[in-house]
Amino acid sequence: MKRCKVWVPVGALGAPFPDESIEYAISRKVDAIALDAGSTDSGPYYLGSGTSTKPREAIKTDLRRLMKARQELGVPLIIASCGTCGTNGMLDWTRDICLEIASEENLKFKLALIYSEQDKKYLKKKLKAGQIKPLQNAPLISEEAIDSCTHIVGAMGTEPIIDALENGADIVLGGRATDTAIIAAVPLIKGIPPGLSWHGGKIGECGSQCSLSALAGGAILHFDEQGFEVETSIPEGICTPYSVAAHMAYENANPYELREPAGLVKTRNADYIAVDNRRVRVEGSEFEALPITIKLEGAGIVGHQTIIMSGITDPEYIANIDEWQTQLIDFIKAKVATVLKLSQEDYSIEVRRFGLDGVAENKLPDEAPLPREVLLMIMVTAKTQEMASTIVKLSNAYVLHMPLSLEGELPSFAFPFSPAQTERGPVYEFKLNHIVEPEDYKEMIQTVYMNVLGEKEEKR
Amino acid sequence: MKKTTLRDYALYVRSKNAGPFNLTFEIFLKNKADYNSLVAMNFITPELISRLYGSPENQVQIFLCENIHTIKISIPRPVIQGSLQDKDIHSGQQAVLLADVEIDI
Repeated sequence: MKRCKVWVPVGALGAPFPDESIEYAISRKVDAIALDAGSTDSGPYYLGSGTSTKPREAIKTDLRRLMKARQELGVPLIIASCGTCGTNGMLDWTRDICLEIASEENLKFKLALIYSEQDKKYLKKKLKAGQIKPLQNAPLISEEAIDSCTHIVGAMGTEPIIDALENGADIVLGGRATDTAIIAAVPLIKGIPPGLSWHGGKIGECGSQCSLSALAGGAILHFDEQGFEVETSIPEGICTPYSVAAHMAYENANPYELREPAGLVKTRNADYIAVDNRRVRVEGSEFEALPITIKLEGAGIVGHQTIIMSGITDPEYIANIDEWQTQLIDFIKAKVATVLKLSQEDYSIEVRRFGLDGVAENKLPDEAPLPREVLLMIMVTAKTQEMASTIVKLSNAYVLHMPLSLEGELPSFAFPFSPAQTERGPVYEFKLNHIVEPEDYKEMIQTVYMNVLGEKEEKR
Repeated sequence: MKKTTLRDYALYVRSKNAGPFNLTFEIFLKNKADYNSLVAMNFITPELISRLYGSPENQVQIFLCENIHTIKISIPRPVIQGSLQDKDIHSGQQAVLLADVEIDI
């Protein structure tokens, strides 16, 4: 019987997981440690700017714990979607942290770095050849859309990770990957059926999120040829058939089908069975192999933003806020046209009214009481930071003193800050939701190996 | 029959991004019986979701997840995640509108 145990220490590198979970995973003699370090869920800024949501210190602390656990177990450590966005720059950032730790702890290992940032010339060639296809709700793609991205990454599947492990890598650091592929690679190498390998990958991708014990941090997946068992990586954590099955719905449009680079994972016929009071066995997952596709993620700058906030508690103004706001924005636009000679294509103004509808399109019933306070946030986006800030500075007096009626004394609203404006820097948008059909994944993904020699200088 | 909200009837109503371009909801029911009643009422429909969130009815996907007594709904995100018009980067508060809907049960 083929068997394989994968430990997913936590849903994302840099998020907390307890020390006792490391001891527990070591006692379970896992065959691999696998986890992701990224996601698009924090929005387009991180990919657009090529930066991490988590601070370097958090990554270094937890990478050190995992590298030492790996050393003790003598099994592969696989981390992809490095640095939140998985760009080449953030993979190198993670590599440098890894090498620093190796030197400080005198750890020796073979390191694979799998780069998945995309070359724009290559993508344009594939676009011309009709080998880039839109996914649901995708924006329009064009050569200009490709050029407008500051970074484009391809989400790798298991293929490059498997190749790296078969080439003897002890630690694999990857650019953007599907969360599931990171976990599925080792079970696939060990001969576990693909339906189970991938389904286990999805169940484990957020660590203990598939359990009733979210603070456990991680999950351990025990695969065999007929199914897999899932448990949390602390002995007191509890997985139930409900908690495990419910994770198939998590941050996923379709709870029964998952498109991965190598094919379609189908879980409609899967059974979730309690093994005891804390472990669940899953069987019956299926996989349909399809020609390889690699999903693109791309983000680019749409402008530079400056914001200004103002608090309003005067009930007369809150009662008439729609009319007042229209008047305010009209005054600002007229002033911008006169003083800066800018047209409405040169900038945009967005208004949020926290307390009323700043978070969701709440349609308050007519009889609903008015809120006691509203926080008005005006966001100006323009081609340059200077232009956005100039527009906001021009607006300052109106935002502070705009009256409902042009007669009588001017009101003053509550600015929370001095200066009133805050520069937010460049703002980014996601511009791609497409897949590429490569002849071979190596067109899009490149691997580099290093022999890391611990305290001595590392050699490539 | 009495009027109640979906929030009170369900165990939990959740919204999340399913990637930057899709929005997904789960209505976790308290038990199989409540799930069966809600499904039998045919209350969660593309028409309802379209009225609440403005997505075209033919783009509303509804999944009946019997094993976890949950109804899952996916729609294209009304605005792309993190775009200038987006009010809720993680989509976590978007379920409130759905949870507030009144049902006769």
